[in-house]
Amino acid sequence: MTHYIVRRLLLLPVVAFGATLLIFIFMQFLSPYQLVSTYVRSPEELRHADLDTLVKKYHLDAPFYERYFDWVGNILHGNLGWSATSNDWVAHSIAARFPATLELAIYAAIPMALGGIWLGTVAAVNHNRFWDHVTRIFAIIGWSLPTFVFGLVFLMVFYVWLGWFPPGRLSTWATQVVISPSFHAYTGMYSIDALLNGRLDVFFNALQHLVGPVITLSYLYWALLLRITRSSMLESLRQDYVRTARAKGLEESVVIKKHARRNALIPVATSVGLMFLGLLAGVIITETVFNYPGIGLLTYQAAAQLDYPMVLGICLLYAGLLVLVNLVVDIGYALIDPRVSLD
Amino acid sequence: MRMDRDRLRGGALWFFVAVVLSAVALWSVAAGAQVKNPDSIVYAMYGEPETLDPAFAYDTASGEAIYNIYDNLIAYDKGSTSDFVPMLATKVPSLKNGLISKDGRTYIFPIRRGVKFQNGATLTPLDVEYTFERAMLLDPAAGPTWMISEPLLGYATLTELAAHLMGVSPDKVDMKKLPAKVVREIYDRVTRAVEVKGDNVIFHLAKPYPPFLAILAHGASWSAIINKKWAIAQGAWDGLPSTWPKYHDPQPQADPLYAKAMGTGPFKLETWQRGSQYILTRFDGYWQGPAKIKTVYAKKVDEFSTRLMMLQTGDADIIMVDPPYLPQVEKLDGVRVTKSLPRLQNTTAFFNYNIDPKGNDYIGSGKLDGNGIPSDFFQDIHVRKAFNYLFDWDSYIKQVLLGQGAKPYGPVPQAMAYYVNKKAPTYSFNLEKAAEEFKQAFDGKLWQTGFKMTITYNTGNEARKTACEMLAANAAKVNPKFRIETMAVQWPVFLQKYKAGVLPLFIIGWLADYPDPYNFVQPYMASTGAYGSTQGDYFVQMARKDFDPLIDETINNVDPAVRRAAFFKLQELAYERAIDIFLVEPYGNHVERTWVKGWYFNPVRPGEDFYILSKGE
Amino acid sequence: MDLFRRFLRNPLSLTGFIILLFFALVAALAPLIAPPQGPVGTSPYLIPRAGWGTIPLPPGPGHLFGTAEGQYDIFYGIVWGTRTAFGVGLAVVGASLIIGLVVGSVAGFFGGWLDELMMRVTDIFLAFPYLVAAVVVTTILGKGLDKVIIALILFGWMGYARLIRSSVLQVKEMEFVEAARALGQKTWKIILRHVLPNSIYPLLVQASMDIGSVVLTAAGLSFLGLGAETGFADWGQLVSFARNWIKGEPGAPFQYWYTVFWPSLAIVLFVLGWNLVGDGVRDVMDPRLRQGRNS
Repeated sequence: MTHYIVRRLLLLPVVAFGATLLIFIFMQFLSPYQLVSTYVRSPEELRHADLDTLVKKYHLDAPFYERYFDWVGNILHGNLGWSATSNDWVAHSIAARFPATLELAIYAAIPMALGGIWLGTVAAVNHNRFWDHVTRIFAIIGWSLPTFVFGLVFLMVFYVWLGWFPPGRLSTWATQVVISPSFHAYTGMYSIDALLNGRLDVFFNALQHLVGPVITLSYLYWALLLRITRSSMLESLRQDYVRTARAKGLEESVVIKKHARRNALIPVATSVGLMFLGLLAGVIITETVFNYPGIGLLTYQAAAQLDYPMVLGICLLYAGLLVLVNLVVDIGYALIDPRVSLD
Repeated sequence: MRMDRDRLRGGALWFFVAVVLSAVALWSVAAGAQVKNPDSIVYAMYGEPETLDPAFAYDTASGEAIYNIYDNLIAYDKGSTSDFVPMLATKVPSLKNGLISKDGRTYIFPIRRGVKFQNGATLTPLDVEYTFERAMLLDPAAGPTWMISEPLLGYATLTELAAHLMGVSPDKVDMKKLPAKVVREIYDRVTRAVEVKGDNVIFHLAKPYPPFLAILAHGASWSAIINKKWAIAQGAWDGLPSTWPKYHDPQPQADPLYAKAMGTGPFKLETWQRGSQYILTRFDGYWQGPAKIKTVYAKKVDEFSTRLMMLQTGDADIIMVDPPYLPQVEKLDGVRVTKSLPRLQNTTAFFNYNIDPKGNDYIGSGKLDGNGIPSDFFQDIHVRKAFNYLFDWDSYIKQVLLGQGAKPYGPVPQAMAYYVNKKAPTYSFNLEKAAEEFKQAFDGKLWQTGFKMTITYNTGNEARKTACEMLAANAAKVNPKFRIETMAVQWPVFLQKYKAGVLPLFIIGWLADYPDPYNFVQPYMASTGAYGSTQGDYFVQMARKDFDPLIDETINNVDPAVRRAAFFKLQELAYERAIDIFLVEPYGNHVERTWVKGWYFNPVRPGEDFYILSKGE
Repeated sequence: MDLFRRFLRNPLSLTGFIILLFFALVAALAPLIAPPQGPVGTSPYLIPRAGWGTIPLPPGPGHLFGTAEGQYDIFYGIVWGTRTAFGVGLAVVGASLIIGLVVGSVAGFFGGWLDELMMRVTDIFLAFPYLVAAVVVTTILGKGLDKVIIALILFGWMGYARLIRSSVLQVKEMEFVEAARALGQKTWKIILRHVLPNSIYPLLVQASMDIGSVVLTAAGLSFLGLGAETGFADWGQLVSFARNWIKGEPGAPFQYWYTVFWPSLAIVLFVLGWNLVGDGVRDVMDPRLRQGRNS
């Protein structure tokens, strides 16, 4: 077990740097004048841009391997570089945005997991009957409805008409509280910071802003969880111990909840872990629609301007997260189910 | 068993009922109409500042933030673009009051006493001197400081000045390794250009420069006055003669003022959460009296639909709206829309007179054989004229821009009415005349063979896309053998192709740096102009011979009448030679809640002025 | 045949099958349903415009479903977009499947350092979240559906490779494979004849569902301005044309409903179809579910 964990951890930097090297190799197709687009952002700015000077100033004409080794060298000194699209240090920018996305993903994971598992159970128990069909279609529609259509319609109804769930991260008054010096930012996640600071009003305000993106995201992922739960449940409902339990005359709901579902949840737990990662990465469009300033938006802006220090920084972040989450999931899986051998 | 499945089903039922109910129940309630956030302004914009350093900033979003935090020596009189009022100077220099010398090369500004900076320091003439000297020495690449250096030093950049002093060409100069003598000489020239005498700050110009006051006036972020002591404490140039190369042309991250701001203006920078918003709070010690608004939230909201909803609910007081979406805000209750605002801006389709044929996918075969265009295609004046006749201004402005634009007379926009000859002819949509011109082009050969080419616009700009498509469709109407394809080019690729000179025809806009027509004829028509110089050797030769002397006349003369005549002549030449297709001068608009009071328009101002605003029913 | 009959007996699978059949017909008959209007030689995939204006037009003669922003004919776009959807989905999933098959079976069958190397490379590709990778690669390659396809293939094969590898590992030790090896059969023949047929079903189920997802991802890229060129018949783009018109003018909420409704409907139905078919195939094929229904 220890051997396995050590091996995985050792592989982490290999995979992470392999990933950034891959991106850099793609970048090789770009000319210095394409890379300069990070600094000259629109046709209107051409009016005062001397492209040659800028290329020289930012060393964009250096061969790609030279730029890559510069970048790696800087990382070894703890410096991820400067992002011209976010006007900030890459590390600082990611650190400032990541808590927002993490907060969103954590809140979204709860209804996603509970709703998905519940819908999957309903579908499995009613296998090939009416409610099986309804839940599946309901979930697949969520999966296939373009995210921003759902998001915008949600905003129209719950923001414009009802005034319940506004876009953004906080209302103006709450922003004022959060930026005041007496408010300590422990985590960068406003809802948690608010509790730690004893500001219930800010906590509820942050939650209010999270509802829209959370519902959008969880509806999106229900279909995946439903499918996994459903097939896993179907399998376990046929197992001997379930039949035994039924034969013993236990109530059906007890059989389903205590016996069948508990065992069916093992593979589901694995995919919830992976889906959490999907949540962290899958927020680009949701964040745009709800004007939620997290990593997703940052990724898109950096990519569109070919801001390679930022793109590479984000790749490192995700590669690291992915390896870590996988590790946790695998270990957890091994602990739950000793039959799994770790090769 | 059956019962239990029913119970689960019942759960599912409730679940759906809840979802459906919450989705349906909602069409009833409407948002209230009282003033939200009575002492704040929430401003939903796209884009955000690139830097807050006045000497570095060269985009309107940065200029807007700097405008509200800093003051300049002088300001525009309300909506005017040519009348000035005093600001940190107590008088506006003029020939009449003697503060501008007769030769137009000395400007004297008496500095106001007792003005407080936001950190409590008092403004002195030394701060003013430092501001301009630092700007010239900072000299950021592709930055705004050429506007200060050119009139004061006679060179747009320090690199050019150093090259001149060393007797070499500018690309041979390494600014980090200048000889000590040159470093000193540059410092001397810079400090000699701006002097302090008592309460006065005196500028010595290298040559008369008519737009100089406009370059200093409020709205010109590069001339915003900073505090010397504070700036040095942040790590900016320490004011010593020998150290400035260390501070010259920094990377943005190495510029100590890029995210900090402290001026004499009406608002303090509270925080700048990059990528999301910046917050300004009222400076109660403002010398003109405190602002009526306490807090400003300038939020970056890229999605139009979200901005629109924020406006409708009253969560945003002012939002940015692109013209096609104006109908969606115009009829909203409690919203005021001001549109058709003339701006100092235009959009132009540029011809490339010497298309680089190497590996060029945009010109077909590269020959005049019906399957491409030759590299000198646009050197034929008949081709250029014909293309001008192909563009349907009326439909474009009416349908695509919904009337939010004006047809240009030439490079100078009509917002500077005095310098635009509105009696002069312009091209208009005329397929017969286009055919006539095409028939004469290349001695009639073009009409026989036809041509094929690809014209480009940058991805995402739908108005420009339509302009390209209209040209293509109309060309095909004139002669089916004229095949124009339109192509969206992503911005990075566009930059590369533009640099390589392979785009036969491309659309770009120009936004004024300061309200003087020189700022339009120079980039468009001068042989060294930002755009003219990229249009091929043929254009450069033509400009050098015929345009440059006239352009020099407009900048070396202070007399408006003389300048006007030169601008008229340039407009005429631009028409006769059909140098480009002048597509449109897009109008601006302003969308606010009706409870926002006090707004007025000034085309020079880079965005909003929060000091003039107040809130109330 | 019995499998197919059982597949169709499930109403959802049947629905999915009919939906896909319908789309296939629309794609095949596109030139008849929505005849191209441009001059000969221009691509039929370019959606005709009803005018130069920006504001969407309501359904009417000439544009049955109304027009999108830029006055692109929605009906035409949906019909020809069906071909695009099939094209993108099948191309991406097909190519990913082939790459996955090769990588997975080679790695699984030969094992050793080759396996180790291939799996680490797979890890590297897996280190990017799918959408993030697609965004980065399409921005580097440039705009256009062909670029989207390349990007999605580049980062779409790893799942298949892993799936194949693990089932190859299972099958490899089975007696008939060892027997075949003992008989001196060529390695690739063993893979083709014995290993693959045994691992192909889960792969096909996965693939059919992925076709829907690929179309969704492509739509997402269009929303971000990285998908098809403006005016190209592509559902994702049609939906993204609607982004600024969902609200409508005051007093007329959902005035421009048609800009959202039709393209969304097309996408939802298409993805639904593939998912239902995928689920149906799994239900029928899965040996664990084969022994009749539970009750």
